[in-house]
Amino acid sequence: MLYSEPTIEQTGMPLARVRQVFLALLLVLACVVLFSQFKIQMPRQWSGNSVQIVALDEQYYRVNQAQMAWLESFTSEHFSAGEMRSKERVEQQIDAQLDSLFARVNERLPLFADWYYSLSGEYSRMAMAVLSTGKLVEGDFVARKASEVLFPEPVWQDGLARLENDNNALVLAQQAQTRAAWLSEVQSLLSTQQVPAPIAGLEDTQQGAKPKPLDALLLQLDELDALSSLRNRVAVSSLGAAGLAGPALWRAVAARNALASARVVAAGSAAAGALLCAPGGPLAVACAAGAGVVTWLATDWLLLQLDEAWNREELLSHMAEALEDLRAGLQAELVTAYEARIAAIQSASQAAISQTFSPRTSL
Amino acid sequence: MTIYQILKKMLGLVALTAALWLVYLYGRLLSSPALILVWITTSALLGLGLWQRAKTRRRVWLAAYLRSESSAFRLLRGGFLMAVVQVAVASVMALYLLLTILRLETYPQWLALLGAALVLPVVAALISRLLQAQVVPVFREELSLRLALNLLAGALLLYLVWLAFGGQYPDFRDASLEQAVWYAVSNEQSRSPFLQTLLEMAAVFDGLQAWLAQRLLPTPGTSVWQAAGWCVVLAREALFVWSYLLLCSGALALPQLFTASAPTGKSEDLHALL
Repeated sequence: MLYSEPTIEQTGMPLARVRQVFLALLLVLACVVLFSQFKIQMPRQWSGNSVQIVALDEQYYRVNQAQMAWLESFTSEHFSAGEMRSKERVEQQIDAQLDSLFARVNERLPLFADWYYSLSGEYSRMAMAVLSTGKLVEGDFVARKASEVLFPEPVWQDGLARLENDNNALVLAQQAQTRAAWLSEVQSLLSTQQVPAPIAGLEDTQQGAKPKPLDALLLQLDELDALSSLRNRVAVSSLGAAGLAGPALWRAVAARNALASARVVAAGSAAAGALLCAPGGPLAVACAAGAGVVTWLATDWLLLQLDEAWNREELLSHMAEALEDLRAGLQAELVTAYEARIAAIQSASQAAISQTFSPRTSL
Repeated sequence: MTIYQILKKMLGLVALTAALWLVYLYGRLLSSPALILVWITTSALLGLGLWQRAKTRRRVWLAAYLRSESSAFRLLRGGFLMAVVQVAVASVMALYLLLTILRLETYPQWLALLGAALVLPVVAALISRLLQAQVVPVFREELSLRLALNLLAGALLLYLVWLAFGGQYPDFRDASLEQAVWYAVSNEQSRSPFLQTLLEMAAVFDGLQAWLAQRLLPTPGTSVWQAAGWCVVLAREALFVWSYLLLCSGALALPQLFTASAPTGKSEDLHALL
């Protein structure tokens, strides 16, 4: 026993000591590595189901990426559909209002025909034609008269102003309705995902809590309203001025070649009237002049009556057709102007939607 | 206990702490099956620690009250039922431990855990040497480990509570309870829906605790509610510390499963404790 124990110690101790040193070194190494890494390494965060907080009408909702993509697509489609509805409604309203406006113009066609087939109308046309030849007046007198009779300022301008106001109001109402419907629908769909408002001052430390401001989108879309009214006013004011509508109508009527002149024989009739006073002596000149004028007027009146009897209906018919053309042209111009405006709104609203949902504006 | 054995135990516990730290780093990226595997492993180790303690306690009790040849001795020595109870407790404690680890925020906490892992075998060895003259050899290791665990648990608890006392918390003074809870919950993200739910539940509790502390207990005083609030903090930290140390205890007991036999429980081995 006494001999063997030192032998065991001699062979065992160095090996145990080596093991101890090795273990101690390993332990120190492990501790140093862990100690240095504890400070540096941070827990890895899972970002696979990242969420975003959206703010809408002072409410906050938590949506994930898929829901956000759906929300963008839904918003875009909703506003496109709203703008399509807006176009249809505006077209319908323009149609109805032009019907009403042109019905009143139609009612005034006989007044124009009465003036046209009156002696005063005849002679004022002739006088204006002479003055026009002498460059003393400019423009087409009949056209101006047509404007004055058919498109009187209060009726025509007020009607157009009402049309403009009503359609602007309709566009605004449609936009407001589209926004309200969108807000209501989105709030309803996201109601189960409503979350409390982020705590002031802690937004930066809360994941996904920097709210995506969908309210800002609504504000941007609200601002389009002002733009809409302004542009519509410009479009309408350049279109249906009374001074342009009358000549346009008269040109259309003239183009139909409706006015056959039956009154060139009136001068010959006046000469025949003057022959009646040939035996009258010194008063013959005055008599001849009076008789000539009376005969002239009577003949002219007679011829006008004949002309009216033969051509009045045709004139009225052509004027009604021209009026219809004018209405169609005006309607097309108005619809085009409003469609352009609605398209501009649509383009601006789609840009605003795209910008709002752009990844750059998300976290 | 030789220095070599102490070093081995220290290395084993450092490896265990490192493994827990990896769970802390990558736990939120793990899938549910991987997390369940981690949970089962942790529960098994923690259960082993609990099992050792329960088994020893039972054997001491049996030796104190029953004859070794009685049928009740054999019936009550601890078997399946005891294992089921310990596994259930271990599962809950492991879950709590993992959740707390995943939600640790500052590195001083990790330093404390690493320090405890290094110190535990040394303290246990020192106590074992101190108790050499007083305690029967068969239970000396077990007793010294238990005393070392208690000592370290107290120290760790004090340190963690002190860290909690001086920690930085979000300012909920102007926030509603709903906002505070949501703030806490919204910061929890995980690949596994199972873990996500658990993290959110833990965050709800944290948010509630922080809000109550700031809104209802704004100034130090003698309020019962304030005392209760600190008791909750203390209890949570204690549960965490105890779970971690039991896990260490289970890890230390692991080699014994394959090498040494446990105390027999016969009265001749235990008469010194009676």
